[in-house]
Order: sequence, then structure tokens, then C-alpha cells
Amino acid sequence: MRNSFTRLFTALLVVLLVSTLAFAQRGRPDARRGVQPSGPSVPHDPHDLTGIWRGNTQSLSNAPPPMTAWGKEQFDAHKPSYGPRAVPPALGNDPTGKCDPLGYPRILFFGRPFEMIQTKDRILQFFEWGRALREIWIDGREIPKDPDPKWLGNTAVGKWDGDTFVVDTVGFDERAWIDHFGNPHSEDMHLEERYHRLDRDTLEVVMTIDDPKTYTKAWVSDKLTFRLQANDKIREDFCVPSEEESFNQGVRNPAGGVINK
Amino acid sequence: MKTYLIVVSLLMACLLTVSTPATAHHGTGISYDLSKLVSVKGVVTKFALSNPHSQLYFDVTDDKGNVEHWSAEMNAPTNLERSGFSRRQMLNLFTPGSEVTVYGFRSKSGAPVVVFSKAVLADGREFKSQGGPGNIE
Repeated sequence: MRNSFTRLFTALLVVLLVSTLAFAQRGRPDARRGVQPSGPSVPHDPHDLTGIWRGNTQSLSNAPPPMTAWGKEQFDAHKPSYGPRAVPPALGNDPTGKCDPLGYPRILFFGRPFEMIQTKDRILQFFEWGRALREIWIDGREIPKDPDPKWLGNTAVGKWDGDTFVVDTVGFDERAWIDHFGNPHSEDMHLEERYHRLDRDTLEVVMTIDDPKTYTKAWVSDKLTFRLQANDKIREDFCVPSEEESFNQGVRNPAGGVINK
Repeated sequence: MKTYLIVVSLLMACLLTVSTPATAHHGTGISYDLSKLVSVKGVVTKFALSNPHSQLYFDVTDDKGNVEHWSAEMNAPTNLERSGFSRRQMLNLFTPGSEVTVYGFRSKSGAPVVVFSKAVLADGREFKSQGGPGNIE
């Protein structure tokens, strides 16, 4: 009995070690920066959001609120390649299949890291995917009343509420999907994000989408968690239309049963 | 003994759940039959380190001399970079003309396309998927 338990316990430790090492592969140290100290016990300033963060959530939550007739029409027209409505990418119409920008907040759900950088008047989100930059203004300006739509939002303004950094954003391009599952939004979407650095290595974000044209009530997210990638760096990761087309012709189309023209 | 087995099994399941990052993959489970690993022997024609996924192209010749053009969907370039592989290393591994046995999961459409798991070259060198649905470890 004792020997069997010892063997099982050893197997358990091996599983933990192997899976931890596999996870560590995702963020190998950059020799030029050196290995940074890490771990929740390392002291942190809750008002300092800087660092490279990575999450693995795919949407705000599993259950969006009921949609309006307009919202349902958009949702039905979207043919994603993730989730219960997934179709082969060759047969879908995910905007990213043509290298359209992911938009915000979807870029947060793409699995690539982003860096938070603070300047005197802005907090910048520097996304690896597309090496895109989102500006969150902290200079006290107001959000505009009638903003033109933009992929990452026309204007984002942020302020501290205790240890929570609250960001309001308006002016979204409705060609972008909210997430990989094809949940839609309109140009009228108002996004609130509440960032809270729980410890040195954990950034928690709660989002609220208020978009009466698309949803019958506000969509409040789960607590979305992003982990500090202390020893990583932002790499080059562009969606290149010519590369995308080559991939589509050589792999995606035939795999999806689509004959190349 | 049964109790120990149940407790340890549950602990292992929990550890695997928390220690393996859940990643989204764009239509992989829809386009490929992930239930059956296949192996195909051929000759490398091209390796492309490009987005959205790197690709290996290879020709397979049957007994009658008919050549079929195959392709394999591999990891995204940044995934390979994070795992420590440079472009030069990858191109040196998959040089055109090299004999290769590719392991992967074939497309549901029946087209000669796999999502990549592993490649074994004639000289014994191996290259494994760096995570994702083609990962067999």
C-alpha cells in the first residue's frame, strides 16, 4: 500500500514538473534583460500597472446578455471558427482571416501578450499582435460626445478609483467582433474596464459593455486574469495579408474543403 | 487503496488543469480529425515561417510514381521564437529535398493537409509541435 502510494505521489510530482516546465517555455528569459524576480510575494505598487501581461480568457464571459433584433442579426451573420458555432475558417467570415484588425477588446482575448507602459499623460497598451498601441489618457480629458468609430476605440480615458484603474472608451468600429465567437457590438458601445493589480504577478480586469443597440442590458464580464510575463518581451507579430493569402491557399482552404481558384 | 487512487487521480487532473494554459485555436478542431494521428513519408519542398501559422510543404510519391502535394499547419512564428527556435534553425531542419516523416492529424475534408505533431528526418533529427492541438505529448 505504502509503496503504491509513493509511486503515485512520485508520478504526481513528475506531472507537475513537466507541465510547469512546458508552461515556462512560453516565456523564456531574454538574455539582454536578464531574469527578473517573480512571484506574488515580491512587493508591488498597486498603482503601477507597467509590465508585460498575458491572459488566456476568450471573452467577457460565457453568457452574453440577450441581444436586440439588430444585435441578433449581426450575430447570425458572423460565422466564427471558435466555440459552438464554429465552422472551418475557410468557410467562415472572421475578419481576422483577412488580416482585418481584431479591434478592442478582442485583441485582449487573442492569447498574445501586451505591455502596459506609463507616460506623464497616458497609459499605453502595446499589443504584440500587430504591434498595435492603444492610448489611455490620464490627463483629465473628457470622452468625446460624437466620436468617429475606430478599431481600438476612438478615445479612452482613465482615472484611479482607490487601487482600481477605471477606463472608459467610446467610438468603436462595429466591423470588429467582441470576441472569437462572433459576439457583435455597435458603434455606440461604451466600454468600461476596471484594472486591479491583485499582486505583483496578477492583473485582474472587469469589463462592462453598455451597448443598448446590440444588447438588452449591460454585459458585465467575469474577473479576467492576466499574468505578468516578467522575463518576456514583446515580439514582432504582424498579420501580413500576403502571408495570410499564402496560408489560405496552401493549408486553410484545402483543410476546410474549399477548392482554390 | 481505492481511496488513494481516486484522491491522486483527482489531484493530477486538477494540476493538469491549472498548469496547462488554455489556448484558443482557430478552427483546428473543426478542420482536422484530432482523434486519429497519421504519419506520412515524403520529401520537403518548402518551409514557410510566416503568419498566421508556419507551414511545411512536402511531396509524397506512391508505388506507381504518382506525386501528391501535402502541407502541414505548424506553430505560429512567435510560438516557435518563444520556444527558442530561430528562422535559420528551422530552415536548416527542413531543407528542400530532405526526406521526412510527418506525424499529424489529417483534415476532415480528406485533402492532403495535416495539423502538425512531429517530424522525423532521415538522419534521425526530430522536431515536435511546440504546443497546440497537434501536440501529442
